[in-house]
Amino acid sequence: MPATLDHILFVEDDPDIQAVAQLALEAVGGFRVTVCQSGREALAIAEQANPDLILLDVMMPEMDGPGTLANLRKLATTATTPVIFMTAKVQPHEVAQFRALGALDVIAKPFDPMTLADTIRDRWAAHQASL
Amino acid sequence: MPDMHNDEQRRQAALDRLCLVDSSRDPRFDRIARLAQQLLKTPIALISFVDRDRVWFKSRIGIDTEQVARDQSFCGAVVGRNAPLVVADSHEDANFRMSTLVQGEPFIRAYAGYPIHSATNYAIGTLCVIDRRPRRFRSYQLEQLHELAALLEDEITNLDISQILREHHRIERELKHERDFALQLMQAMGQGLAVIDLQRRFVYINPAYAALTGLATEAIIGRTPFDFAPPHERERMSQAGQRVDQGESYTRESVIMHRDGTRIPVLLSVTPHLRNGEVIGAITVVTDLRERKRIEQLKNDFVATVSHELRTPLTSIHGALGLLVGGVAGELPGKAQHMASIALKNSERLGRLIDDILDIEKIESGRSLFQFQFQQLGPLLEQAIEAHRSYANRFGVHLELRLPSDGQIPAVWIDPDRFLQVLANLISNATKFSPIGERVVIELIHHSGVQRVQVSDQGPGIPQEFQQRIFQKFAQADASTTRRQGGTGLGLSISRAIVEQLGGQIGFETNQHGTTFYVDLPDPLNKTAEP
Repeated sequence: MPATLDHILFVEDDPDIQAVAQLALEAVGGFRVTVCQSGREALAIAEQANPDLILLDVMMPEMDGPGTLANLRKLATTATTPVIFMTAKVQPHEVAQFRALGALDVIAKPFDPMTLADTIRDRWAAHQASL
Repeated sequence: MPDMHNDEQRRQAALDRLCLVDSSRDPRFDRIARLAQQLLKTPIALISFVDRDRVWFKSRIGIDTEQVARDQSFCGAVVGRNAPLVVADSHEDANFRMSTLVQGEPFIRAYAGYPIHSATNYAIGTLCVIDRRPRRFRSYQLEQLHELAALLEDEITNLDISQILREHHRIERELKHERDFALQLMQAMGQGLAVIDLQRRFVYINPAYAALTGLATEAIIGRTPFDFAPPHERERMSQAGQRVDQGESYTRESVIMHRDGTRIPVLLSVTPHLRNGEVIGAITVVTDLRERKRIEQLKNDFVATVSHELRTPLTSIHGALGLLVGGVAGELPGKAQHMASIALKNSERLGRLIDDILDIEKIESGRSLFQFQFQQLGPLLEQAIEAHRSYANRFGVHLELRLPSDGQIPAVWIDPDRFLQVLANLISNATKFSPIGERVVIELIHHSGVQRVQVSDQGPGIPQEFQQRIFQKFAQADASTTRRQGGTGLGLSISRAIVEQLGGQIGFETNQHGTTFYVDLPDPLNKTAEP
């Protein structure tokens, strides 16, 4: 597992949020970002993309965030890849549920684009330290 | 010993039932009175009825007076002793010598009277003859008077029995009407109604209750509520049943199992069924909660949807503006930078508004789950102050904590996160309205049975006209403060909603030198002492 965070797979169905988050992660955070429209698409390219971290929207049509996570865990490449959820419906007991599913953390929408990259880097670092 | 008071009441009731007092003259009665006058050869003969405090004459031969006072009267004495009275010369009789009826009109010297009884054997009046001269009545004359009295009694008994029968019929009819009415009410009720006996068997149910079980009424009578309760409810039901047997009432949510297996959420209001003060069972009113639960669910779903649907576009707006202002998409010209900053600031405010509206909706509807625990107040206050230190510095305000001098900092039963939310609101309000360089004091005080946490500022005080609506939603003293102070106008109403859920009270004291907001939290020791 790489010790530095470089490549993020971002799964989000809203194209505007895709554009904003991609710019925030690339321009502010200096990450490489692969964007997917849906959980299905993420599963299709996950093996090939082999990301360091996956940023996953919770509410998506067809396959939602938790469903996508469960399927990603079945793939060899992403079986243990750290995952962070993004959601507009963040409530304390939901955060606990998402953590129980194996997510590092939950980022609430709307997020601050200028600090998004730092937040993700902090979670990543904390996760690396715990390994 | 007979109860004199009750006896007189029953005697009076027997008389009242006959409706004779103050009735018009009746030839049947007058004939008997006239016969008595002729047989005993007296100037006066009377048929009297002894009413509460008077003697009223139904028939009066030889006299015009309609009534005399019961006190000191001869007829009153006959009824009082329930025995015949014969006085040959009242001037020689110690009991009557001083009576007003002897000393004045009608100047009674001689008197002979027999009691008249109701069908229920109460002395209600007399048949009597009166002379203004002394005289010795012959025994055959008294015998004749007695016979006439018996005749009169027969007359009254007939009257009495028909009255009693009429009364019985009336009461029966009324009871039937009342029964029918009660039955109709119970049948018409939308709520379920069930009456059980002490063996917990249904003795009455209404159609609404039967509908909840999906069974016919006949199939339910004789069974027990346990038959329609899911297993986990039965223990609670039996405990609650024992409380009702001891005369207690209660209301609680429960579940009824429908014949088709559906579990119907219901509200039970159970009261003891009393007869002559004895518990003989229980009366249960059952409210179907399905519709209420469905609406709650709809509202939950709606709030969740709204929150998602509002926040999604806001995420793009806020994110795009944040990147623009942050220069990530390239340097903006000065005016454009200023405009983008305004838009960003307001998108943040809109975000807070959405959060607050959803928050207060959830707290007020009781759908926000509070995580209660025993919590030391001291560390919580320190934590709240620490979190606001840099915020206060920006306003040039100093935050100060004061704990009780006795060093006693008790634990309270609260949700710490929610209480921190209240403290955050009170501290940021106090900070915003403080003059630069002043202090905001956060203080813990023991206050008769409650723990009081108060936040005091040295600001300008709350304007009089605003004090009434300070806890209302979107209440701010004037529109310009909203903009300047950057609040949503919901902080205090959220705080109040939270404090109420915590079982406490929030309030304030204010004057032109400053304002103190306080939260009184119930002392957990006191709370356990409550029944």
